[in-house]
Formats: sequence, structure tokens, C-alpha cells
Amino acid sequence: MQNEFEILRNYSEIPSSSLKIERAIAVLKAIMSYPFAELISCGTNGNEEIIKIRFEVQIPQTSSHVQRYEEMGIIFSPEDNAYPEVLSLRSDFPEDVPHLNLRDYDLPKSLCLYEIPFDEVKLTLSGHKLIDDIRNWLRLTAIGSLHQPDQPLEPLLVSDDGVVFFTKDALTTANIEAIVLNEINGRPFILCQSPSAVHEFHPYKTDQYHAIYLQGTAVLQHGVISRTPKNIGELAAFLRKAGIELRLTLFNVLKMLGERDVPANNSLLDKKILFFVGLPKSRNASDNDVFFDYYCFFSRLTFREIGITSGLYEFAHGKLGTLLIQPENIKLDSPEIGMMRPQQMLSSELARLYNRVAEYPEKEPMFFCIGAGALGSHAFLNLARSGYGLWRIIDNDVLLPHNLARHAADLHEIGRFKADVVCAKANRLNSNAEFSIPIIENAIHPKQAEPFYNELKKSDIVIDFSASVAVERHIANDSRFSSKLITSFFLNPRGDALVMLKQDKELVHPLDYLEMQYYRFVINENNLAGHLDIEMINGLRISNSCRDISGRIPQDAISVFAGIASANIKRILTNPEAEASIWIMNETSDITKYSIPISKTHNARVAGWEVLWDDHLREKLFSKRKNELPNETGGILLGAFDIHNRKIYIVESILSPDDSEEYPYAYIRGIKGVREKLDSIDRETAGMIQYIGEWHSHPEGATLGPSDDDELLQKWLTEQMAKSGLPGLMIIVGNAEFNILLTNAD
Amino acid sequence: MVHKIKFYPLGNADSSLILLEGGKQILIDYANMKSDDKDDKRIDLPRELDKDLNDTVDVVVFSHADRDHINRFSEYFFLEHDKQYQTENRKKIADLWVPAAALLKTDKDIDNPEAKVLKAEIKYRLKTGKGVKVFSGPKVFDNWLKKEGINKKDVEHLVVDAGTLVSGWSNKDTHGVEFFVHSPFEKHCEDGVIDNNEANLILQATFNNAKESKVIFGADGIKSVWNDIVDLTKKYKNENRLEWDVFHVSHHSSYLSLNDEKGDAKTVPTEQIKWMFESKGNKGGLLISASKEKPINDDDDQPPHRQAVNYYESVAKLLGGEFKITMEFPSKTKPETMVIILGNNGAEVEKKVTSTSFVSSNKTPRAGRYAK
Repeated sequence: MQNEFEILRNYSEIPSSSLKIERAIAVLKAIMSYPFAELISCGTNGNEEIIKIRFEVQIPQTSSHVQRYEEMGIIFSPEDNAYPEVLSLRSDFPEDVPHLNLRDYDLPKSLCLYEIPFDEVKLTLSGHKLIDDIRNWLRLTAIGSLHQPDQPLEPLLVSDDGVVFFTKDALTTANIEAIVLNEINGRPFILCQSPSAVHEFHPYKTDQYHAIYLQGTAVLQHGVISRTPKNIGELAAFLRKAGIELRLTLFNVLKMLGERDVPANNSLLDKKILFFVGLPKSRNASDNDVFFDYYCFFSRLTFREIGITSGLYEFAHGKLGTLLIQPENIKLDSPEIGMMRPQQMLSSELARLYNRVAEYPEKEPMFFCIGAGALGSHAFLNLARSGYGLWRIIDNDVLLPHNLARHAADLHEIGRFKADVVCAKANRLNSNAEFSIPIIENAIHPKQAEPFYNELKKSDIVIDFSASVAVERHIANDSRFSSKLITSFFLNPRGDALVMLKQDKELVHPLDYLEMQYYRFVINENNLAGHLDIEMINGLRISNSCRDISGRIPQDAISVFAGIASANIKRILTNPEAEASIWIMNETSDITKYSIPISKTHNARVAGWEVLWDDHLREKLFSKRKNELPNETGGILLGAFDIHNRKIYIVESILSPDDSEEYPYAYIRGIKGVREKLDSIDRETAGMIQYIGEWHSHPEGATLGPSDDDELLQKWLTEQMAKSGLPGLMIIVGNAEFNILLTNAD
Repeated sequence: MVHKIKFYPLGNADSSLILLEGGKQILIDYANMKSDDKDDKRIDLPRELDKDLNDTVDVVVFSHADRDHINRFSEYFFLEHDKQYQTENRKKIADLWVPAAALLKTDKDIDNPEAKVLKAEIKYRLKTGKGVKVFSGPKVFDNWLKKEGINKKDVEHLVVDAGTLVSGWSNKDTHGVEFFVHSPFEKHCEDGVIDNNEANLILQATFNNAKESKVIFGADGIKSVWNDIVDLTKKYKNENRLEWDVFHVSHHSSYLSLNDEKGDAKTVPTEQIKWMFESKGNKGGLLISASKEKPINDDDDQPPHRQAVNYYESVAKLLGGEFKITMEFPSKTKPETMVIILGNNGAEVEKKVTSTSFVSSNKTPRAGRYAK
């Protein structure tokens, strides 16, 4: 067997029938029936076996790097504990294609076929599949598609003597902090950060390594580092091609450190060196996009030891001295180096990539998020992990021990503001101190109103996780909030449902009326029986409002619903229409989504109140009137009074009870079943929907003005309602219009 | 845009199917050659076509009416002229493209019964004034039309002259491809004996992918036809209509399509043909021979001829492309349908090995016991 590559010289040719390694035999069998692969020869070095194959590659007319026929060698080890080594037998195989393994030798080139551990691939790796995968690698390389656009631009597989985590901005700061996070089997895991970075890693050692960043000046298309450098001398030779004079840089540093009587030098002299290298690269000659390949190497010796082995330092009389020697004469081929795998810290941009955030606006959306409780903290951190948006988190609650049952915080954060805690977490995740800013305020009564509303003004979207009807009504009624896209999320009292109410920007469907339509849906949808029941345990209310989440809700539910909430928040910008939905999870974890029908809202100002209703209610009253013609008919109006905001919401009606009396010129509303119905609605809506007034119809040809009887009725009604401090509300319904009569007491 | 052309292993016989990304389908020639012999490696064409073809095929082209281009077509297609060809499950032909020779030959000059059926179908469609295009110069018809009592004006729109684009297919952006007609031209069909191999329908197709892939369907064109085509094309300055990325080489790699002399090791083509292959072929161009395997000697008079194949291989090498023989693809032992992908990176021969394709392409062998 003729071998032009040194590493293949130990293999001697054997007949294919002499192969012993199972995986090699499997590949041999596969190519025997494989139309686009042809056996060249088999060989062994006494331990490993090699199969050389001529592949026919599928390539189109426009292609590069790869030829129609490529000869490859596959080396199999008897242990079968790592990928078979796949080598190109072509000495001019390109070295500037992605997904080559970096080896101790320049040639032959080694293909990197898989990114996942061998044990995973092994499960399905037949001889046939290996052949397919090699051909596929060649084909995709030929058309330049192997390196998917969503893959990070660092070289994929380099030597793995350690791992270094870094942010790009840390590299350009003057004093890069190199923190040893861990050491596994002699492989260090090091974090490089700027001293001002948001990360806090106090327990870790920072005194082992001194980091030096070296940036190449020449933009190259071809890789500079084609094999793993083993010592500083080899590294310096490689880096010269990129315009980096490592030898000189190191010489100067060593010389400076060698000066006596500088106390700071002493600590540095005993540090090892981390060489961080950034090499500018473009994908091809015509490409103006320059990106950086990052490499990191660590010395196994300290500055002091390197100074001595290089011949620059000398120990005399127990003291270090520097010799007169030129940079080109220092010896650098003995200080060994290790090559580290550089891994970028998560940035918002990368987080979005890993989270498959498909549509992201050019201008980062700013969220004004009220509430950092259990649901809010988890949903917000989901979005932080997606690098989604910029955030202001409004909450003035302090984290208490019992919050840890469901809140995203940790024990060491108790006693701090929840908003501070979640923002710090989110900012660390994104390596970005600006990702979120806590605002420790009550959303309804901010103490420092000016900065509070300034931040609100800058925001595009308001998210309400407050679990408070008061907050929701406040933001619905305060135009500083309501001019934004607003979405409210809350759980029902027993925690088996998430409710989303999303107001549109045009305010066709205001948030507070969406709330009413939600109650109406709860009343009318049989499957929602008990949805708003307030839980009683041993006669004690453990939650006390219709959207209280400090009750006994399992974290499982919080987690699931926080996921649904964060997913929907990502859709707000692309889908800004109004929406009202309920997700319900049953005992076996099935989730059902209910879309609440929403219809157009109308309003009118009457007697100092704003009265709101929607098309759904109108149609219900009109059609009842029409059905009963020529008689008059009527019924009870259901809804809510908001005394603080002086609003009356009409949403539903109990239509003419059976014992009502209907005549062509008169209507007397009956009482049969009314009490039971009102009680049930009170229960179903946790008291949010109640009796608010009466309605009756006028026949064809009659005006909508009140008759003498109507006026008497309205007087009676007002007197009755006044006992609860509420106005008397009556509606007279005609053919296509109705007349709202509203009388305040006294 | 990604279009496909399929070539079927049929021995020395032709059938190519163009599948356009927009869904239109054009079948060029249909020759079902499969025998009952279990060692016959030729593909079962109707079954293979059934995998792709819609109930109605947009265009069916018969380059000429020789057996190796029309064999058993009347069993597969729904023919309008006679009820016996209208049984269930036949594919309908929306538009039938044929050279005038297929119509003008007198019955006594036709020894192939399938060619008679084709002639009857063309005649029927001409008389109804739709669903057919006849390729020839306009004058060739005069006598025939007079004899049949057809008004020339009524059929003029069904006649396509060489040197033009086929109407309805004259802009590649409409359906994904446009067709330019190289042959037959008038002199092929002048009175007297009509040689099918001279009166072939030869087309150049240009596809609307980013590369504007160009494919020449060479049918059974012989040397003199190619010389004429090159001369005329140059005369009318239509050189780009002889440019190619894929060349379906003529007559199953017969040397007669290159020159009169076979040559010893390699056929030397005429000046014109050499120019067409070597100067008008684009980088990475593909040459496809719808033929039997390349022979190792000259014992067989029939194509493919070793020397012609050697020439085509040298062209492929020159262009950095490939020469493929249908009966050798992907292997001589088990030839399969060859798919040419015309994508934005140009033409490529699909070389996919799908080990599970049997599940949907073949019925399983009989299972279970049955008593005789």
C-alpha cells in the first residue's frame, strides 16, 4: 500500500477478508452493495484497521472544494469507543472548509462528521449510514451548505485540553479577569470576563492565569491554525501569518516582569498565561463580512518558568535577573501549551437563536411588566432565556421564605425585592446589565411618579402579571397605560387555569371589558363550572380573590402556565389583535384552550357614568324583543359597577322569567328562578358579576322614551339600588336601538 | 427553482420525464421495452411513470415514430381517435407533440403498428383543431391538407417551425421552462422518402432556475442533421440555443450521430458537432446516454458504440462534468431511474441511496400458504 501521509505509513495492506474489527467489516459489507462507493484497499497497523474507499459524490455544476470522486480512508479502532477517523487521501484537500477536525498533523485532513457524542450516534450508525454521512458531508461542503447559518462561527472541534467561556467585549478590555471555575482531569474550565461584568463568581480563584488578548490584523480566508500547536514556539509561528508577533509581545512582557523591585510583578510572575487569539476571517474573498475565529491556549508554565526556560531570566544568588538577549533568540519550543475550546457566553442574540425566535423586530421591544410573583417570575425568566425584549419589572414586594415554593428565586435572595432578584437573574443569563431594570414601585401609586411614567412612556408593551383586578382596571383606565398594547395574565383561584386578556392598540376591545366577556364566558360554558370557585379548606379561605395565586397551587401548574404565557408574549407584536383565552389543565395534565368570543364594545356617558356593552348583549336583547312581538318583554341586566372609575359594565341578561307578564303595551318582570340564577352567577364569577338593572322592550311604532309606567318603575328601581349606594339602571329596547335610563339616588 | 428530469433504463430506448417545480409534466418519448424475462434489467416503464404522472399529462412528445421511442404507447395512453384506447386508468394527453413525418408517412411505408395508431391519433387531433402540435415547415402540409379536405387556416396554429420557440412554452417564467425547436426543418419532409432519423423532433429546453439550465434532447439525430442544425443556428445567430448543461446524446451513443467514421479508439466528430459539444457545453455539463452498457469490443453493430462513448467521456472530462449511461446507473447489475436535478447550483445527477424506497415502490412478494 502506498502512503504519502506519514500517519498512514504504519498500515500494511491486507485482504478485505482479513478485517477483524466489527465496524470495519460492517462498512466493507455496505460498500459492496453501495453504488456510489468503491473499495480501494484495506489495511492494518496491527491494532487499528483502515479501509480506503473511492466515493462518487453528488455535486451540481456550481460547487467548490470537493471533486466528483474523492478518495477517503476510514480508520477503525478495536475498542470502538470513538468515531472512526475519516481522512481525505487527497493531499490538496482544502483546509478552509468548515467541519474539519484539528489534529496534531497537517495532513491528511480529518472530517468532522458529527457534533454529538459517539455513544449517541452509535445507536444507529450502520456501515451504510457512515458511508451515507461521509458522502453527505462531501456534498454539502461542495455546495457550501454544511455550515448551517444558525451554527456559531467558531471552529467546531478543536483540541480539548480545557474550556474557556468568554464574552467578546471582555476580550477588548484592558484587564481580562480569568476565573478558574472548575478543573476536571487536569482540564481547566475558565471564565474570561471584564472586571465590570455582571457576573459574580466570588468563591472562585482568580490568581492562576493572566489573560492576554491577541488580535490578528490580516483578514484571511484560509485558516491560520491547521493543526494543534504544542508549544509557544509553534503557536508563535502560526500567529505570524495573521500578523501577530507573539514572540515579541511575550518577550516584552517577560522583560517588564523581570524588572526588580516592582512588587506587583511578583504575583504576576507566578501566574500561567492564557493566550486569547482573535483571527479575522471572511467566508470568501468577495465577502465583506468579517468575523472572528477565537482560539485560546494556556501555558502549563508560569511567567517565571517560561522566562527561565526561554533563556531570558537567570537565577543568581537567589534572585531573578534578566539577561541581555534579543527577542528572536529566546527559546520558546519547550513551554508546552494546551488548546482550549472557546465557548461564547450566552448573549440575547444567541439566546434567541437557541430558542428559535423566528420573528424578532429590528427595534428591540420594550416591555413594562407589572408583577414579579410566581407566574411573572417564571414567565419573565423564560423570556430572558430566549433573549427576548428589554424589560422593566415593576414590583415592590419583598421575597419571603414561603414564596420559594413557587417563585423563581433562591433561598439566598429572601428579604430582597422580587423585582431586583428576577432582573439580576435575567441580566446574568444575557450577560447584559441592560436587559432588565427593576422598578420598586406600586403600579397604581408610584412614589416616584416621574421616572416611573418616563419608563412607561419608553415601553411598547405592558404586561400585567399582578394578579390584581385593581391593577388591571387601573391600567385599563389610565391612558398612559391603555395607549399601549396591554396583556393581562392571571391564574384562577385553584390554579388549574391560565387566563390571558389581550387588548388591541386601537382599543376596540378595552381590557376591562375583555374581563367582563371572560366572566360571561365562564357563566355560559358548562365545562368551566367551578372555574372561579374560591377554595375553602376546613372552612378557611386560603385565597381571597378571584385571581389570587398565593393559595395552594402546585409549582407544576405555575411552570406549565408560565410557559404558555411567555410563548404568547412572543406573539403579541406579530399578532396585535385583541384576544381572550383560557387554558385549563386537568388532573391528567391534558390542556384545553378556550378562545373566548369577543365582540365589539360600545360605550355611552350617562348621568356621570360610562356605560359599556357589546354587540353580543345588544343582539341578545334585540332578538328577544323580536321573538315576543307584538308583546313587550324584558329581563334582568347583569354586569358590574366600578364605582372608583365610574363605569357600568353590562354583559349579560336573565331573559324574561317564566312568571313574567307580557302584553302589547306592558311588561311585568317575574321572579321565578331569578334568585337561584343570581346566586349561581355570583358563585360562578366569584361575585364579579351581579344584578345591575332592568330592561324591557317597546313594541313597533313606539318611541324609546319612558312611558309614565316606565318612569314609575325607574323611580322604584333607583330607590332599591340606592340602598346599596348604586344608581338605578334601566334600558328600553327598540327595533335597532336602545335607550339607557340611569338615575343616581338623591 | 428546482426542476427534475428523469431518465429511465430501457436499454436502447428512450423516455425522459420533465417534472417542473410548478407541477407541469412533460414526457418525451415512451418506450415500454420490459420483457417477461426475469433477467431483463430494463425498468417497468408504466409502473415507474405511474409514480409521478398526473391523470392528464401536460405534454407528451414523440420525437419520432420508431419503435424504441413509442413502443406500446397505445396501451398506456388514452387516445381520442378510437374507443378501444379509452379504457379506464389510461393517462390523458393534454398536448401531443410530434414531427410531421409521423403523420405524412403513408401506411404502406410504416411497418410498426404502433406508428399507425400514432398517425391516426395525430390526424384525429388535427381535424378537431386542438391538443396537438406538429413540428415542421408550413409548406410540407399543403398536399396532405388538401387531400384530407382540411382548411389550412384551421390548423396553422398547430404547426411549429424549426428555429422558433414553441407557442405556450415560449417564456420560461410561465411554467418554468421554454422550448426551442431545432429539428425537423422543411428539407427533412420534402416529398419522397422520409427517414425518421432525419425528421426527428430535437428540442432545447431552458429552465428558469438561477442558472437557467439548458438541456438538449437529441433524440436520434444523425450527423447530417446535427451539421445542418449547427449551420442554421449559427446562420440565424441563435448560438445560445445550442448551449447546454445537460445533453441527452443522440441515438443511444451511436457513432453515426457524430460522424460517418467510427474511428479506432474514439469517434472524431464533425467540426460542427465538435463545436457544439466542446464550445457550447457549460462547466460541469452532464451527458446522458439512453442506452445499453458501454461495450468492451466492436462485436455488436448496434449502439452504443465504444468509440462514441469514449468521445462523450472526453467531453465530460473536458467540462469537469459527467457522462452517464442509463443502463449503468447507479450500477450495471441493478439500473434504476436516473434523476437529474436542475437547481440553482446547476444540474446534478441525484446519487441518493434510499434503502427503504422498496416499501413504497414494490409490492411485497406473496406471503402465506395457499393450496393448489
